[in-house]
Amino acid sequence: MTLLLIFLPIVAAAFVGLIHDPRAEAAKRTALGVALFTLLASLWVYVAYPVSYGGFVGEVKFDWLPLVGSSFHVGLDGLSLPFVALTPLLTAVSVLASWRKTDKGLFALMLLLQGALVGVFAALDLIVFFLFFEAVLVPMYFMIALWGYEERRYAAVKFLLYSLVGSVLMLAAMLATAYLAAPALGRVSFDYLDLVSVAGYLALLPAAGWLFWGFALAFLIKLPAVPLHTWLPHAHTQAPTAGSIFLAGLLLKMGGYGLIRFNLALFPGELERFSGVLAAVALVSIVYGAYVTLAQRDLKRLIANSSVNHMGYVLLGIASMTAIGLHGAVYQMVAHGVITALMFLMVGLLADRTHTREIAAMKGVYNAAPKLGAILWLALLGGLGLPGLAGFLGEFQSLWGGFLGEVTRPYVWWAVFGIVILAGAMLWTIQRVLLGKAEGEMEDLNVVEIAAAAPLVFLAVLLGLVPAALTPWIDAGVQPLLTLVQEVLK
Amino acid sequence: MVTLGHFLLLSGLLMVIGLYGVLTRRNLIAVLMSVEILLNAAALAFASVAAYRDPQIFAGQVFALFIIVVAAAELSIGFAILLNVYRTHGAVTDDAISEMRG
Amino acid sequence: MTLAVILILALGGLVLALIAPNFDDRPGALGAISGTIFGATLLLGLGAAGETGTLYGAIQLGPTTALAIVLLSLVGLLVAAGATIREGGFALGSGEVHALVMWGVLGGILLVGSVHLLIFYLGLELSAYSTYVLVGYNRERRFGTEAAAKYMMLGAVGSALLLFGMALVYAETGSIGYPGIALGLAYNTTPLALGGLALMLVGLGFKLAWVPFHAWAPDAYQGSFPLMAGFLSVAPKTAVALGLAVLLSRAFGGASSPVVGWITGLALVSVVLGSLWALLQADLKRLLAYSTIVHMGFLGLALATVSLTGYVAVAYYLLAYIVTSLGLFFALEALEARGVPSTIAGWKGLGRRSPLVGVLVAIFVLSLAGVPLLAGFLAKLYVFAALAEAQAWTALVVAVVMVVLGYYFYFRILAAVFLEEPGEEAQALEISPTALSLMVVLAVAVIALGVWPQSVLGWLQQAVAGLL
Repeated sequence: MTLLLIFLPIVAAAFVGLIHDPRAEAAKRTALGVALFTLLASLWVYVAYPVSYGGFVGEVKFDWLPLVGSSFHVGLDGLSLPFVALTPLLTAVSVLASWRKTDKGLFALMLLLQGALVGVFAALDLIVFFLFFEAVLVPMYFMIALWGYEERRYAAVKFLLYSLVGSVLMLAAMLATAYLAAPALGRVSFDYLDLVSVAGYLALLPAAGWLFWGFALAFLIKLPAVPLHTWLPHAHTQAPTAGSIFLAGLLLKMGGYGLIRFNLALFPGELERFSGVLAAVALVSIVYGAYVTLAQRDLKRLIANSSVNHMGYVLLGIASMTAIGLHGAVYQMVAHGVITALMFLMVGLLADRTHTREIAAMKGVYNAAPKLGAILWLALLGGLGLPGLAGFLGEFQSLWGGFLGEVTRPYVWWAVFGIVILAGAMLWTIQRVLLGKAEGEMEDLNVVEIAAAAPLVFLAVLLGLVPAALTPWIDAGVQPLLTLVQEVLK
Repeated sequence: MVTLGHFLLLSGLLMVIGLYGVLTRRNLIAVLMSVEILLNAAALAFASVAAYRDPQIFAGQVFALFIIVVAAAELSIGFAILLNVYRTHGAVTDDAISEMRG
Repeated sequence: MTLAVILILALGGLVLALIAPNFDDRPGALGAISGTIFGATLLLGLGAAGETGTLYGAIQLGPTTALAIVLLSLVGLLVAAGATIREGGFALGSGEVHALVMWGVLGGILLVGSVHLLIFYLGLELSAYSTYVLVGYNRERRFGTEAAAKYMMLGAVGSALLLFGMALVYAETGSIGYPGIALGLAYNTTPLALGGLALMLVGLGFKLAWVPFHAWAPDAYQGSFPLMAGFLSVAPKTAVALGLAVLLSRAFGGASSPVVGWITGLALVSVVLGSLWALLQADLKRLLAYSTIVHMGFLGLALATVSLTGYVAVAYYLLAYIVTSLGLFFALEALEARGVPSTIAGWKGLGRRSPLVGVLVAIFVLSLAGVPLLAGFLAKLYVFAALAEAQAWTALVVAVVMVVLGYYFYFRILAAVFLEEPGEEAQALEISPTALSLMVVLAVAVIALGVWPQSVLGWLQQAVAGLL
C-alpha cells in the first residue's frame, strides 16, 4: 500500500510524459484521477490506523544497498499519516487550480512531486529519506522556472541551491551518524529504527552536537527559520499557483517533520541542549515574519512571509519538548498546510483575474466576486489564527507547550506579539482587498475552482472545531517518541 | 668509484634538462627533443639500477630497451601531429598553438 | 579467456586497420565488426572472473582483470556503435578509428592486469597513444591540431615522469614486480622511494586529469570530435583508476602507504578547483572536461580509503560515469553533426526543438550532478559512505559541499536547454536515429543503475574484493 502511494504517481508521471497530448487533456485527467485514487487510499489507511496501538503500518523493507547497510524501508505511523493524506489532497487541488493550463509537463511534475513527497514522509531509512528529500527539488525547480512569474529563474535557482546546501550537509551528518553508530549496532545501518534504538549511545558521542546541527540545518532551511528563510518569499511568489500550493502546503512541512522524526528521536539530548537557541530562532521567525508580512505590497509575497510566522510556531512547539508543544507543532503544520494552500489557491485565482499581484490594485473583491471573496476572507482569517479555524489550535497548543517548557517560557511572552502583528496584517489585507466598492467586473469562481477550494475549506473548519479528527493520530505518533526521549535523557 | 648514486644523479640532471626544455623551448620540435631526453634519462636510470642492484634478472636493462622502442613510437606519433599542426597553423612554435583559452 | 581477449583485440585491431580502405563507403560495416568483437570480449570478460594464476607471469588472471575487460569492452562497444552517428563516417576513414579504440582498450586491460611495472607502462602507453591519435583526428581544424599537440606533449611529459618514478622505486626495491616492490617498500620508505612514489603519482595524475596536472584536458576535449573526447573521457581514466587501485593494494602497501595521503590531497584539490573553474565555462566540451576533473577527484577520494566500500565505490563510479559520459558525448556528436555548436549558447532552446533530446540530455546531466534515482547519485553516495567509514570528516564535508557547486553549473546547461527560447533561424531538429537509440539505451541504463543497482553491485564487490 505504501509502495502504491509512493510509486503510482511516479509511474503515472512517466506515462503522462510519454503520451502525445498537445492540450494536456489526458494529462490533467490522469493526474486528477491518480491524485484522487491515492487520496482515497491514504484516507483509508488513515482511518484504519490503530490509534490506540500506535506503531508503523504498511511497512515495506527490502535490501537495497547491503554494503552500506541501507535498505528500502518505508512505513506509516501517526506522525506521517496526516502528511501522507495531505499530499494527494493538495495534488488534486493543484491539478484543479491549474485546470486551464495546457502543458502536460506541469501535470507530470505535479505527479512526480506527489510521489516524492509521500516517499519523504514514509521513509524509514536515512538514505531513502535523503533520496526522496532531494528528489523533490528538481521537479520543483522546473515547475518554478518554467511556469512561474517574472523573476522565476532567480527564484528557482535560489530555492534549489539553498535547499541543496542544507541537504548535502544533512547527507554528511547522516553518513557520520550511521558509521559512528556502527560499533553500538555491530554493523553499519541507515535504518531509522536501528538508529533510534541506539540513540543513547549517539547522545554520548562527542560529535553529537555536530550531527544534530547537520540534520537541523537542512530542516531549518526548509522550515524556514529566520535567517535561513530568504529563499522563501522569492520561491513562493514567483511560483505558479500549483507550485505555491505544493511549496507552502507540503515542502515546508518536510522541515518540521524532519526535526521531529530525526532530530528529536536521534538526538534528544542535543535538542534539549539547544532548545533555547531554537526557541530564540522561533521567536524571531514569529515576530519578524509577522512584521515583514505587514510591510508587503505584493499579495503573494504577503502570504509567503506569513508562512515564516506560522512555521515559527512549529519550531517553538518542537523546541519546548513537551507533549502539548509537539502536538501543537504537528497540528500547526497540518493546519498551515490546509490554510496556506487555500490562501495561495485563492490568491492565485485572484491574480489570474486581475493580472496583478499588487494589493493596491485590488479593491472590493468581495463585492465583485462574492464566492471568491468569501473563501479568501475565510482563508485570511484562518491565517491569522481565528479560533474556530484550524490555525488557532495549532498556534495555541504550540504556545502552550512553549509556556510549559522551562527553557522556552521566556520566549513565549514575546511571541504573542507576533499574533497581534499578524492579525493586524491579515485584517488590513482583508480590508484593502476584499472590502469597499468593486473596481470592475470580475469572473466569479467556476465549478472546477470551487471543487478545488471546497475540501480545503472543509478541512480548515473541521480541524478547527473537531480536533479529534487529527489529535489521536498525532498522539499515536508523538507519544512513543516522547517516551523514547525521556529514556534517553535519563 | 662510480656508484649507482652517480648514475642516478646524472639521470636526474638529464630529467631536469629535459623538463627545462619542455617548459622553455618555443619550437615544438625542440620540445619533442626534450621529451626524448626525459625518456632517455629514465632509461638510463633503469639500466644503471639494473647493473648495480639487479645483476641476476637485469629487469631494468630490459625495461630500458623497451623504453627506447616506446620512445620511437611516441615520437613518430608526435611528429605526425606536428606535421598536422604545421599544415593548419603554418608554424610549429608554441605561440602558434595558444588559441584555446580557459 | 583473458588470453583470448587480448589476442582478439590485438588482431582485430590489426585486421580492421588493414581492411579499412575497402570499407570507406560503408562505415557502418566496420562499426558492426568492431561492435561484434567488443561484444565477444565483453562476454569473455564476464567469464574470465573465475580464472586464477597469471598469464606468462605478466598478467594477473582474476576478477579485477575481468572487471577491466568488462568495463573497457563496454566502452569499446558503445564507441563502436557511436562511430556511426556521424553519417558518412570520418573523412579520414573509420577503420582506423575502430582499430585505435580497440588497441586503446587493449592497453587499458593490460594496464590493469599487469603484475609488474613494465607491462603497466606498456599498457599505459598503448592506451595513451591511441588517444593521442584519436584526439588529433580532427586534423583539418586549427583547434584540432592544437589540442592534439598540447595533449601529446603534456602526456609525454607525464609518462616520462612516471617512468622516472618507476626507476627510483626500482632503485629502492630492486624489483619491478608488484610483490617485490611491496616487500621493498615495507621495510624502509627512504626519500628515494618517496620521491619515486611521488613521481609515479604525478605521472598517473596527468592521466587522470587531477589538478595541477589537468591543463591538457579542456583543450583536448574541445579540439577533438565529441566521440573521441568521449572515449578519452572514459577509457584511459577507467584503466588508470583501476590500475592505481591495483598498484595501491598490491605494490604500494595499501592503506598505510604515504601515497594514500597524497592521493586524498590531489583529489580534494581537483574537486574544489575543478568545480570552481567549471563555473566559468561557456563551451560545453570544456565544461565537460572540468566535470571530468571533478569526477576524477571524487574517484580519487574513494580510492584513497583503500576499503571494500571505497573500491566498490570506484568500480561503480566508473560504470556510472561510462554510461553517463558517453551518453552526453553522443548527444554532442549528434548535435554537432546537425550544425548545433557545442556551447551553452548553442544549446539554447534545445528542449523546445527536440523534447526527446532535451529529456535525454537532462537525464545525463542530472546524473552527473548527482540527482537521486540516477546512477550518478549512488556513485557519489558510495564515495561519501567510503569517506564516512574511513572517518575522513573534512574530506567528506568538502566533497559534499562541492556537490552544490556542481548542481549550479550543471543546471546552467539545463536552464539553457529548457528555459531559453531557441534562436530565430533554429527550428525543429531531427538527429540521427542511431544516436537517439543509443542515448535512450544509455539513459535507461542510468536510471536502472540508479534505482536497482544490486546485481551490478554484487558483481563489482566480488571483482574488487580480491584487491584487499
